[in-house]
Amino acid sequence: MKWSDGMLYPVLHRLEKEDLIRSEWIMSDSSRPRKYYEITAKGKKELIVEKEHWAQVSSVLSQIWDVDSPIKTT
Amino acid sequence: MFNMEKSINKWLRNFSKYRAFSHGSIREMELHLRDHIEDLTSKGLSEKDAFNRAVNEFGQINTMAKEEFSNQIPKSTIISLLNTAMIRNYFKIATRSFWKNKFYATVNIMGLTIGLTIVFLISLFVTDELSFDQFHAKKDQLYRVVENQYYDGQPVFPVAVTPTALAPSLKAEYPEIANSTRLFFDNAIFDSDESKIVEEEGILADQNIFEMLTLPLIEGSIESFKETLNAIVINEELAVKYFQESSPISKTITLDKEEYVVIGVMQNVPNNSHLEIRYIRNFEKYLAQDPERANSWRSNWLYTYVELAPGTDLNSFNEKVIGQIKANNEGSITDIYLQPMTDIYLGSVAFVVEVSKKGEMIYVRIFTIVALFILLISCINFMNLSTAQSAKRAKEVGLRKTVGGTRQQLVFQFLTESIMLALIAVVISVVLVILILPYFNQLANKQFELSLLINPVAGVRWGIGILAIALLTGLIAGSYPAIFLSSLSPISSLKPDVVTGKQGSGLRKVLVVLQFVISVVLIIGTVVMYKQLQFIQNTDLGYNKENIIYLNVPQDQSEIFANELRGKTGIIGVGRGSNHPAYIFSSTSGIGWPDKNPEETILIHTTGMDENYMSTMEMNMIDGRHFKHSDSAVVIINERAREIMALDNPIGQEINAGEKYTIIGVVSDFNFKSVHVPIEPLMIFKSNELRRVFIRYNEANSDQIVASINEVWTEIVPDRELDYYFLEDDFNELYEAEQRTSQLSAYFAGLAIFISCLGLFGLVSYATEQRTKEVGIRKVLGASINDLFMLLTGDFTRLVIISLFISLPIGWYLMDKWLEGFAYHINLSIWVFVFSGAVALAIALITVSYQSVRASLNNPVHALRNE
Repeated sequence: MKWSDGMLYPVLHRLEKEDLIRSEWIMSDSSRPRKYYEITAKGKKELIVEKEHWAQVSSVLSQIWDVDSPIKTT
Repeated sequence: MFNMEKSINKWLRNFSKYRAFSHGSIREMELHLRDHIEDLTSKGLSEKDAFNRAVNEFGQINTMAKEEFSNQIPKSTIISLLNTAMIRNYFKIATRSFWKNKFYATVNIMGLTIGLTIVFLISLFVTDELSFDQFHAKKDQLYRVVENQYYDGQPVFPVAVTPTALAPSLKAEYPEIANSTRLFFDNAIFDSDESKIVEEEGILADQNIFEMLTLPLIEGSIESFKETLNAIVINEELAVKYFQESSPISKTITLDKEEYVVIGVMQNVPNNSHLEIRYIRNFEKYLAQDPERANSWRSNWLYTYVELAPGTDLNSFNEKVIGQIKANNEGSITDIYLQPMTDIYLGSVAFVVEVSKKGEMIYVRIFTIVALFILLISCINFMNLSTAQSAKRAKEVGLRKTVGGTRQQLVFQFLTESIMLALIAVVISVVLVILILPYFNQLANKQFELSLLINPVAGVRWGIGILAIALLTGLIAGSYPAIFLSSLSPISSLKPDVVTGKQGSGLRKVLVVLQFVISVVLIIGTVVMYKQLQFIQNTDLGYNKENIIYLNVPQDQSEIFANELRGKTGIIGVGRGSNHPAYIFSSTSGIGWPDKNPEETILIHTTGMDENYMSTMEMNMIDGRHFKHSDSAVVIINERAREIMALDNPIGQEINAGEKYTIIGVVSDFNFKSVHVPIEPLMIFKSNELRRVFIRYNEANSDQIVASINEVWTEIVPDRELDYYFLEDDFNELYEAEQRTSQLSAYFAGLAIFISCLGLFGLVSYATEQRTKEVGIRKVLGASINDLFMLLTGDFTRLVIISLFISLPIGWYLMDKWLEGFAYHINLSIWVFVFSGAVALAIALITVSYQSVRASLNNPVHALRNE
């Protein structure tokens, strides 16, 4: 899957649907209207969980890929 | 000239092609693009370049649409898990993993196929046994009246036949009885222009039988049945046989030299009926010979069937009718009760006189349990092989979990795999069942036909049943591996040094032990059954059953016939008797002897013989002498009778059986019934009114013997065809149920041990594969082949030995119970168990050895290079 600018929107919409972020259209006379996204409390919690999860996976993967791993020494 | 607004609008139209985008999100993206273009033009790009670059960086609209669309489908539920894309993926993974592990997949499918084939065949057998007499529309209201007779010092004597007067008296006296019929089995010589054939499986019955049983007429009417003494209703088969294409109605047919009018043709009675009825004659015909017979309460000889009014309580009605015979026959010791029609075939009471078509509930139960056990054994194979291979699959599980696979999805994936395997096995086993069916029919004495399964109603039922079994098997076999594998933690499963397949090995051992316990118990069962049958066949019956032909001769011609036969080449002896030596059922309590306690009612069996019967049968006299031609009013008793009569010196004593008879001899006990029952007291009267002729022939002349008999037969009984039987065949028939069971259980035991070993083979192969390198290193370091063999097989051998210790007492207990059903049986010797255990152990050892020996003989270089 190629990541492009546009792919951001489906992801934002999904996060919003899962109540991890919320959005608001802001209209102003001087410029174009804009949609603002903000993280929710639930989103903050989820972020911590995901970060830990990633750290875990990353540590496991780095153990596997570690060239100095003791497996190869036998 | 580049037109910015037009280009943007054109670009936006691409979005509206996809329903995934809402108006708001299109607007959001339009603003994004416009900002981006503005940014780029302010950096000095031309409008056209800025537009192109912004559109390019924004990305493919269709991939975005797909992503956005996935936001809109509901969260995963069971239904969404079943969505086709997912299933397709599961199938793909399942096929891949089978392909990668061809060997183990084959082992699994083979085991499951055998297990399922047995389950299908046995369910055919069991459903047929349970379906007996279910086809009668009034089956829940139909009963047979049976008796319990009570004799002093003897166990209850259950009898299924009743007196002539019982059926009408019940109908007349009890409003609960809606209908009753008397029924008696009959055979007759059907005389047509071309042939004289003895047709069996006919009955004499009252007209009511047509209202009670479901015997649909194809042609004719039974309205005039009762009034027409010579009325006969025949089944389709006889109609075609004797009348071919033409309608038999109102035509006559000659039975036993008398003309009968066919008033109806009925459908053939289904195979699953305990009553085999090919034609029905009028019971009034029998009564017409002597109207006094209708009032007889003394002799029990015919079957009484009744139909209870709907809603009658069986127990309270049984209490009401219990004394019906006693009330009409003074001094009777007989109680009666109603036996449900549908209980007759598989009923557990061993009635002394009973219809010949009888099943055994115990075999239905044994087979059902065996089928389930064999299926369990093959499911265990699947579980063991799957969990053992968990090391291989663990990485896959870890990775799936890491990238977001839920446990639910994993369980689903593994279950899909096992159900797929089960389905493959089901397909193969259905084919196998179709191929095996003819042999199975022979083995189980059934007539299953494929057309039965193709018929829409039964076919759909079977189809659903088969699919249900496949699903169930898949679920049972797959549940443990699925739960086990999906529970693996992603972290530990991705660490290579942690996963060795050791997880779940405790349970695996328990399951292997369970498999072998079941197999060894089956082997013990087979060996004990085989030995018991050998014992029965070789047991001293008290007479010699080999090389005896017997036939029925009209009573007035039997003596001439016997005399003519004597002296023909190859014939050693000819004797006449009223009974078959293994079927003496007539008995009486009305015999008196010196010093008999008049208070006691003792049942004594009786039979009649001529002076040559005992010598022809090679029975042994232990006291006194044989009959002589000139003898009259003499009797020979058996040892058991001498014992029960308590006469010290019986020879010359007189007994009173209506008239006085003198005891002239004591014959050594012979089994005049099945060896299931102990030998009972017997009195043999010298008689001349005998229809059965028994011929002992010289085995060397066995080829011509039938020809010589036929020669005499056509001379003396020219108007009938010769029908002859071999005594030994009857004897085999007497123990047919045991013989069939022993044969079937031999197959089952063989297959059970085979499937168990298949699983063991898989496990050993896997364990050996895992330890290839270890074996290589040990070998390099100097381990002997012996050491290595012990290392690889030790674990499994130990399991098999443990299961031997568990199964031996179970087998002992079960077979001891089974043998109790025989009055004369082998004693369970320790050698049976040693033998069964040794067989199981040997087969298991051979199984585990193959792989281990191969691994230990392998050149260590190959093992170590195996990276």
